[in-house]
Amino acid sequence: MGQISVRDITKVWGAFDALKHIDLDVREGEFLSILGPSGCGKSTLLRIIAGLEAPTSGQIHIAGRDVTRDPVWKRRIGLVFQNFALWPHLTVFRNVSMGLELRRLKKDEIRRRVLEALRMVQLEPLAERLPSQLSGGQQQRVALARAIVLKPDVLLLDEPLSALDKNLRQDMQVELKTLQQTLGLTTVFVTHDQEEALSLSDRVVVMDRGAIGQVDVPEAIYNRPASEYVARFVGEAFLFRGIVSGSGARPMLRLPDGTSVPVEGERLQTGREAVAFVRPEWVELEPYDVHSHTGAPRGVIDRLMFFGQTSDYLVRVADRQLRVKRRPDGPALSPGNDVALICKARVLAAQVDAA
Amino acid sequence: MKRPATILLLPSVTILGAFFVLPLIWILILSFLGSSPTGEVVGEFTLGNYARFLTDSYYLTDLLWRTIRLAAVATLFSVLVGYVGALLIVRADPAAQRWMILLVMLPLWVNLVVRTLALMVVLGRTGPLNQLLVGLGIADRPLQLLYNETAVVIGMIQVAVPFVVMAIYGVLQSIPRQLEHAAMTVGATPLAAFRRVTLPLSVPGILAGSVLAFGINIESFVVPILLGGGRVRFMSVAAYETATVSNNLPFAATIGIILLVVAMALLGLYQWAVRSAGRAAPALQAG
Amino acid sequence: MHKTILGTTLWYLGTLAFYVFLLAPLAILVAVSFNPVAMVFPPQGFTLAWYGTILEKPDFLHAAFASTLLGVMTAVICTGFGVLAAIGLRRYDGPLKGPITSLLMAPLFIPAVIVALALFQILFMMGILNNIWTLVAAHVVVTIPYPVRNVMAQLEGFEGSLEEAALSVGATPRQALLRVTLPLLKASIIPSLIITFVLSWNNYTVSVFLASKDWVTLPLQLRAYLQYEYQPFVAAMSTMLIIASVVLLVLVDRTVGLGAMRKRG
Repeated sequence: MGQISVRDITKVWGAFDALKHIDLDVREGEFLSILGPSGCGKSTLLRIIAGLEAPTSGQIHIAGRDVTRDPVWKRRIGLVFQNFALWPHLTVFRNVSMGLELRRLKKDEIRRRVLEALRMVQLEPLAERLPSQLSGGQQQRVALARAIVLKPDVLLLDEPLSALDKNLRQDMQVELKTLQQTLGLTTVFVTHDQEEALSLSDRVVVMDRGAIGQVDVPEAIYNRPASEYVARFVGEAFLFRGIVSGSGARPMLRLPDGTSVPVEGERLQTGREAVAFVRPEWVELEPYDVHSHTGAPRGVIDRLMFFGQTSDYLVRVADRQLRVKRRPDGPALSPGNDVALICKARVLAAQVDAA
Repeated sequence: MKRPATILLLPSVTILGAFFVLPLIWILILSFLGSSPTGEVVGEFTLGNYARFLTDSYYLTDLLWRTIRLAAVATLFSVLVGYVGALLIVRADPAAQRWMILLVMLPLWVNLVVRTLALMVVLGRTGPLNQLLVGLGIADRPLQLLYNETAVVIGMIQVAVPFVVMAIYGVLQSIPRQLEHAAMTVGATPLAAFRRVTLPLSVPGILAGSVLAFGINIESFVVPILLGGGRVRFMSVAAYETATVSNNLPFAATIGIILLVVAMALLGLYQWAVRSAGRAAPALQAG
Repeated sequence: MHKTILGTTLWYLGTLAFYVFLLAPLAILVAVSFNPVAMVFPPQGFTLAWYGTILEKPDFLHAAFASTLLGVMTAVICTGFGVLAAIGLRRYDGPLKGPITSLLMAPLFIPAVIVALALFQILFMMGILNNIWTLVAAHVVVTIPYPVRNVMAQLEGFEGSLEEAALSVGATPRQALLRVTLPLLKASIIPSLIITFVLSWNNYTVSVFLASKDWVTLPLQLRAYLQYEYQPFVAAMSTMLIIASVVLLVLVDRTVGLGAMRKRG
């Protein structure tokens, strides 16, 4: 059992199943992201863990205690809200100190701990300001300080960075991760931003319409997604549908147009239908050559976009468009050129079983 | 464009000048004029009317102080009841809120004489409240609930509560519920969260509501006449009776002016006191 | 949120208590109007006879006529003046803008009883009390802030260019006012008419100072009955006034919404 364990949690709103039998364990000291589009139930799950929402059925354990029936204020959690929810009538200091005051700690201990927390988020000099006098990033830090000053059993973050602009968000990501590691806090981070989830987390939960699509380390989520949904939601995926052919050592996927793509994957069975995908940076483009590229998928370059270190090539393959990320040091290619796609596609595990 | 603008403003400025400004100036002047024993206005300057009011303990304590005291007590209760009402509405199901607001506003649309009459029936010797008190054994025989200060205060509370509810409801609505939830995540019980977050943030609503209630209560007229039954003396009623019954126009004007000045001064003082108390704690700016 | 049964029950009880406090007296008064015997609750029987009695009271019918006439005249004049003043204030940019705005709002802040007293005194002096026009003027004075405020609030939302656009296609300023501005102001004119009517219809304080024998309004007549004939037909009369108020309130809520109707009785 982990620091947080979610057992068979269901949430029903009228006829709508917001959460369907969720099981999840968060390990001690782990940074776990819950990733999904809006409406997938990720915030509801977080609010149920926090105690702001009651589940229709199921149990929540935090630090070994069954807290399912405990109200929010008894759960020893720290929660950072999407829009910060700072108290506008209280100074930064008092925003952070309220939790300690409620615990009736001694005045000098409160002062010591508040200043320590503010120092961690580099806000000590602004202790006497009001929230309205702070920038978005500073407000974010106050919200964070308010959550960690109580040394909670778990830290819950509800899309805390989505209200910040892009540059600030990247800085805050680094700070957040550093802080979490320094304190060794078990952290659940809800986000719809897949890059954020992949770069910060020890493990990522991908949610799909009230259910868990996949739980794994970021590398596995990206490279070995469990389903078409996960493949498409996490990063960009170009899918091939076809029939597995070729020998055990060099499996291929034969596509409806007669071409074939080399594939990899577990337990591939010849003759079975399967779906494979490629990421933009997995594909190499070569000028199409009838002799060397016979049988390989081919396309035409529609457009080229220069990004500095890499360039994006939009390639039309049959009726679909494929984005290829490519260093500009290969053979020169320009719009209109015929190209062959050189790549190894990854077969989606779930599709194999489904066939 | 200047000429048409002046023409557009002319009708309302004229009517306000003739029927508002001029009469007010006139009673100010009148309050400094003397009167003969029969009530005839005597055309000479005198401070006699003010001297008479301010040296007679009947006018000072039985009339002015009673008016202020009853208005203040009624305001206190109106704000308490109104705050609870506004909170109940704001926390209700959004679909129900519309109806709850409609029901709060309903009394405002009903004639004040009708509303006061309704209270006379409720508070009467054979009225439902007395039946309840006797039935529950709280009183062994019907009490005299009408025609005393309590009845007047109850009436004023009834009148002021809907205004207070609307003033406080507006402010409460602008406070995100999430601010209380945030307090609960750091260990506050719902009561503590309300006391530390919502209550201080709703002070502007309490202030607006109490100013509104006091302004309405201190000029209360129908309520003391009907529920006081002539036994509870009130400034506005005294001004009316002095002018129409005893026909002492200058003294009636004096009572009116004193009521106006005292009401303005108290409201100004109250707002100043609350503001400066608020400045000691950081300024409130919800959202 | 976790809700306890006790907490929820207390919450509903509180809501019930609040509305009982606010509305029970009116409900009791309505019930009393069906009592065949006396002004007592609960009724000792059921009768509609008191409603019939009302029609036999010529002074009540006269008062109803007086109040309606007074209300309509006040509403029309007050809203008319108010609309003109609000448009005028928006156009006028002279040094008197501040003082004029304060003047138009001032009746909200001066106790009505003092305005009534002052008017009574000056009209008494001039000997022109016995007259419906002075009564109308007094009602207009105490209600004029409402239409001015409503219309100004709506004008704030307008682009100033709407009238200029009309001028640019060749309309005279008068035509621009009649064809563009006034039709757009309908949304604040209708609530203003209703508010001023209701305020005038319900007014007691100003009327009691200024009304003569010929123009006794409904609230005054009701009060007179209360003094001399404390019988359920007074409750029946009140019930009819309550019904009229409820009908108006619902009508307003259905048509323009109560948001436009923040008022101070």
